[in-house]
Amino acid sequence: MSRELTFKNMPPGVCVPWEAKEKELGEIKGDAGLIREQWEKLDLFGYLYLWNWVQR
Amino acid sequence: MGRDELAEAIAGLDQGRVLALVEERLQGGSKPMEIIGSLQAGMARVGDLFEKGEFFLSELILCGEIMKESMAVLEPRLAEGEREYRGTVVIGTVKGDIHDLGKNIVVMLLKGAGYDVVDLGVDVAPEKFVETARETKSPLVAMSMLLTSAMGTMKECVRAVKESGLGAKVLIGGPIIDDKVMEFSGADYGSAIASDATKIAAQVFGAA
Amino acid sequence: MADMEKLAEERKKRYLAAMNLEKPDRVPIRLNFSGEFITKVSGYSFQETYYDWEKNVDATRKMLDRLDLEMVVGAANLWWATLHDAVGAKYLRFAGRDLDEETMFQYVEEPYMLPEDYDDFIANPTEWIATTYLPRIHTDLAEPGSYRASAALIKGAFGLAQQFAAGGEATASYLRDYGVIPSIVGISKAPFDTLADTLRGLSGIMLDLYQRPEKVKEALEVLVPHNIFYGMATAQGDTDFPLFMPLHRGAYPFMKMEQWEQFYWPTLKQVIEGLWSYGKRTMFYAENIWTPYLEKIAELPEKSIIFHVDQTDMDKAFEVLGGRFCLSGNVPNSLLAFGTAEEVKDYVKRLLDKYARDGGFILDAGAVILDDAKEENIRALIEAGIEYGVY
Repeated sequence: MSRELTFKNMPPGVCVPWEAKEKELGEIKGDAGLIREQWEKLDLFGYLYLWNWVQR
Repeated sequence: MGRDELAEAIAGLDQGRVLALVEERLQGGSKPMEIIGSLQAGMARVGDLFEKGEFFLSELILCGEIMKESMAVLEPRLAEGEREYRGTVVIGTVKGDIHDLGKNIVVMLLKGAGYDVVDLGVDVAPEKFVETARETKSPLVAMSMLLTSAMGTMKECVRAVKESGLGAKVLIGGPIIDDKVMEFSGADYGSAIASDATKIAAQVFGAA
Repeated sequence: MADMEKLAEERKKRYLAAMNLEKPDRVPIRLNFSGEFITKVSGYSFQETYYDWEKNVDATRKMLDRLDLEMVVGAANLWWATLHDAVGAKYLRFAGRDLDEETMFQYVEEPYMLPEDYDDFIANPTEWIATTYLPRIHTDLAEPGSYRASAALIKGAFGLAQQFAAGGEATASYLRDYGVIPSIVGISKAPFDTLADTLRGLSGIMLDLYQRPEKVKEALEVLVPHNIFYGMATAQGDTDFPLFMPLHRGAYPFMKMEQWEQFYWPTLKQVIEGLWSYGKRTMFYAENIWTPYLEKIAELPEKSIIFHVDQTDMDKAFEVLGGRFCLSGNVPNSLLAFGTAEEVKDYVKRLLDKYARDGGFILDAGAVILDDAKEENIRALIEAGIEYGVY
C-alpha cells in the first residue's frame, strides 16, 4: 500500500461514512436518525461527483 | 536457415525470452540489423495470425510492447545509415480525429515488415500530409480515422495528396471503411483490417 | 397539455411491450442521436451547445420541432465543457477551445491510472479517485489544498449539481411539450470498460492482462457493486426505462475468447444481474461486432437486457437471442450517412420483415448517430418504421 487509507471497506455510495462522522460528533442531542439520513443524501452526491469522472 | 528462435519467441509473445535472446545475440556478436530481421520475421508471423483470426488485439498490443522494448536495446547500437528499409510510408490520423489505436497498430505492423514509417501522430492537416510526402518522397500516404464525422476532412486530406502532383498513393484505414466510404473518399486503397496495410504496402512498393 | 401526456403514455406502453417481448401496436423507434447530430439539426454551433447548457437543452427542442420522434436521450450533449474547464479536465477536447468550432469532442486516452495504483484502487477506489486520480486528470487540482484546487472542487461540484438538475428538468419538459419519453434512464458500464476506458487506457489494460492478471481481476471484482450502485443512483430509482450501458472493449476482436470469458464477461454479468435484481433492465449497447459471444450473453436472465445490434451478425443474434431478449438496431450508420432515403427505407423494410414479426424489436441505427447522418435519411427511417412496423 503506497498511502494510508482514511477509510477502509467503504461501500458504494459513500464518500465519508456516517459512522466516522458520528464518532466525531459525540453525543447527539436530538434526532440522530434525521441527521444521518440527511448526511447520507449529500454524501451520496460527493460519491457521484467523484465517480462521474470515471464512469464515462 | 534453420529455426529462428527469436522470431518464434516474438510470435509466442514470450517477452522475457525475446529480451534474453536479443541480449544473447548481441553478446555473441550478431549485428543489430540481423537481430532486427529476426524480430521482423516474428512480427510478420503475428500479423498473419491476426489476419487468420487466431490472434486478437490484446496480443498485437503485447507484441508491440515487446518490439518497443527490444528496439530500445537495439537502436542505440545501430551505426549511422546502417538501417535498411523497404521504403518510406507517411501515416497519421486525419484532422478532426485523434483516435490512434488503429494507426498505432498499423505503424507497428509496417515497421515490423521493414518499412521506415514517418508517423505524423494525430489530427493531421491535409497540407501536413502533402508536405511530409514531398520531403520524404514517400510513394504511400496512409490516413487513419475512427469517427465517421471525420469523413469530410479525410476526403480533403486525400484530395490534397492526389492534387499535389507527387504521385503518392493514398491508403485509408479505419473500422468504418466500406465500399461507400471508399467511393466517397477518392482514396486508392482502403481497409478496415489493420493487417491489410502490409499487403497494400507490398503492392505499392513492389510496383515502385 | 393532456394530449401530450396521453401521447407519452402510448409511446411508453409501446416501448415497454417491445422490451417485454410482446407485440405493441407497432415497432417502437428509438434513435440514439449524438449531441453533434442534434446540434447540427438545431442550427447551433458545436461550441454553443458544448458550452451553453441552455442552448444544449434547447437544441433537442429544436430537433423535436423538425423530426417526429417518440423518444430522446435528453439534452443534446452529455457533457458541459464549462464544467471541464472549471477543473481543468485533461481528457476531453472541445470544439471552440482546442478543436475547430464544428469538430466533435474527442477523448484523449492515456493510462491515467498507473500499474502501481492497483493496490490503492482495490483497497478503496472512491478514496483513490479523490486523492490520486482527480489531481492527475484535473490540472486545477494539481496541488491539492491550494487556492486553485479548492476553487476547482467547489466549482466542479456546483457545476455538476446544476447540470443534473437542468438535465432532469429538460427531460420532463420534452415529455410535457412534445410527448416524447426518455429512451434511457441511468447509465453504468461493464467493470472491464470502467477500468479500460478512463483508467488504464486500452494499451495499459491489454498489457495488464498478461503482466498482472490477478490485479485486474481483483479490481474488476471491486468495481461490481460500484457499477450496480452507479446505475441505480443515476437512474434515481427508475425501473421502467432501460439503463444505458455502452459496451466498448468487449467487442470482437479486442480479446481472445479465454480472455473475454475470464476478464470481460463474469463481472459484466454480475452487474447486469445485480441491476435486474432491482428490476432495472439494461440496454446492452453492443457497438461493433459481438457475434462470437452471443451464446454466453444468452445466459443472462430472460428480458434482463435489450440486445442492441450494430455489426453483430443479425441472423445469428436473432437465432440465439430472439425470443429471450428484445433486440434493437441495426440500420447501418454508413447507410444513414452515405445512402439515399430510398435505400434506408428498403433496409428498414427488410429488417422489420425479417426480425420484427413476432414483436420484441426496437428500430434504431447500429451505433450512436453522429453528425454525418443525413436528416432526410433519418426521416426516411422514421417513415419506414411507421409504415412497415405496424403489427
